[in-house]
This record gives sequence, structure tokens and C-alpha cells, in this order.
Amino acid sequence: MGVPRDGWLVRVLHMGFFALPREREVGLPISEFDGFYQAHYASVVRLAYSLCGSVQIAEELAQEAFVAAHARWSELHGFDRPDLWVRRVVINRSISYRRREATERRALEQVHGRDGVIDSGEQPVGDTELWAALRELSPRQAEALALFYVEDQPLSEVAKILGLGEETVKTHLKRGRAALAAKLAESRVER
Amino acid sequence: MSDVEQRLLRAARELRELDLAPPPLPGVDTPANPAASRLPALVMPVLVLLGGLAVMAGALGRDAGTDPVAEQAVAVIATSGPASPAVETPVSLVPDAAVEVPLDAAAPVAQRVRVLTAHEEVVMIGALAPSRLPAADAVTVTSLRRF
Repeated sequence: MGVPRDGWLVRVLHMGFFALPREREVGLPISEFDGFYQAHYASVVRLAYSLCGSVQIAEELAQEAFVAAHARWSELHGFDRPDLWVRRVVINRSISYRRREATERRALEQVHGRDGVIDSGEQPVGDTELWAALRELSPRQAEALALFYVEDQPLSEVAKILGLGEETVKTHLKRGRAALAAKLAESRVER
Repeated sequence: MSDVEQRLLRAARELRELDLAPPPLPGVDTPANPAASRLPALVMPVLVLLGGLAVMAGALGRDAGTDPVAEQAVAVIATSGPASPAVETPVSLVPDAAVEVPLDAAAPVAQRVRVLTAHEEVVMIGALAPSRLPAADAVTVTSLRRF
């Protein structure tokens, strides 16, 4: 396929703030979305799980992120890495879920005591102590650790997803590891 | 490598062993219906015009004393337990009214109910704790959060 001959307006838009996807074609490759979804679903669920602590909720958050990506696929499919966009969305939703859940838990505890706490009925997955400690970190530290270790993303990609510089990500990783070690040591002492 | 790093890597490996097959996305039929996004640009104004006429007809219907226009939607009821499938059931979204989501025997411990409209807009209805579900076969939900 040859280089598409864009009109002057499209060329101007490519140059400026309103950059358009360069690879947009007349027929949108919607079937590509299915391949994209199949390829990234599991890793996006794992990322959500590390931040929200429930496979069921993680699957739901991941599906919501992909539904949102589908709605904007005509724009996203021109991106080099549309999966980074989905990961950013799922991180935001996981953090929002955590905040909402914490608020709801506090309210239920006040009203019903321990009985009011939601029991998801889910079987714990893997090192639950570690994931619980990770979720107690600051959102930025938890996000950086999840992307770097769970997703196995290189520093440069973690920085892109979080919209931070690589040095800042390194700092979050270093402080996150230290805080995580302290929390795990604390829970060992409590036991 | 520190103990924490080793533990993180080990936990990440365990997560990768989870069987996470992607389910069909609710409200997204991309492989089956790829033509929907390839409508020629000229068809869209016609569809918008027809949609406008439909809305006007609905408004006229309301004025004439008929039922209010209800938006058809699908409620996806997530049951507890990782192996339990989500249950889908049709519901109607009437503006400014509660949504009644019927729960059948397959979903006695629904935890989260969400509604997908025909326009693929996801409407999330807050988490429902099993302990807060009434014994009746329907849940009336009053808070809608649109994305």
C-alpha cells in the first residue's frame, strides 16, 4: 500500500496539537479490535487484580476498559500502542474502585459492624498478603510496582502509561519496594 | 535482588498461571458485525434524521397519553464465585425511574449489576452485597452512574 495522500487540512492537523492517527484508513479494521482484545485481555486483568484484589472485579474493570476502547477504536487503532491507553484506563478504574470500596466498607462497618463487610466469596489468588500490602501503598507506588513487576513493562513504558518521567518512576519503584518491605515485616510481627 | 523483589516476581508468575480467557464483550459484537463501523459517511446523517423523527414520534406518543419511552437494555448480573457465569437479562430503563432487575434462581447471590444500553453505553449500578439482597426475586436499584 502506498503512502496515503492527505489533504492540506489533515497535514496541518498532523503537525499540531490535534495530531490525528496517521494510519487511519477509510475502512476501519474493527476485526483488529478482536485480536487486540484477545491479545491483551489477560494481562490487563492481572494488572487490575494487583490493584483491586478481586479477580471478579478485575475482569469487570478490564471489560469496561475494553468497551471504552472499542467505543474509541477509530481513534485508538492508529496509535502505536493502544494497549497503553487501555492500561491507563484500567489503572484509573482500579484506583477509583479501591477508593469506593474503602468508603463503602467504612460505612458498612459503622452501620453493621464486621457483619456489614462485603464478602465476595472469592477464593484467594496467590500471595494475598503481598497484594494486600501493595494496595496499601500510595496509588503511584502501587501502579509503578504493578506495571513493572506484574506487567513486566520496561521503565520507559511504565513512564509513558503513568505520564511521568523515567527518573520519577524509578523513585516510585524504590520507595514502593521499601514501603512494601516495611508493611510485610509489620504484618509478620503482628502474626 | 531484594526479598521483596523476589516475592513480587514470584507472585507475578503465579498470577500469570491464572486461566483468564477473554469472554465475549457485552454490547460489543465486533467480529460478527464489523459493518456497523464502516457505514459510509453519507448514511450517518440519514440515520440521525431517522433517529430525530423517532424521538419526536416518542414525544408525541407521550403527549397522547401512551407509555413513556423506555430504553431497552441488558442487565449483566455477576454472581459470586469465580466459576459462576454472569447472567444477562433484558430490562427497561425509564428516565427518572428505578430499574428493576429480575434475579432468577441462577443468580441468588448477585454482587454487582450493570446495565448495557443498546447504544453500547455502560451504565454501572453500585455493588450489591449478598447480605443486602432482599429475599424477593427482584432488586430495585435507584442509583445509576453513567460512563
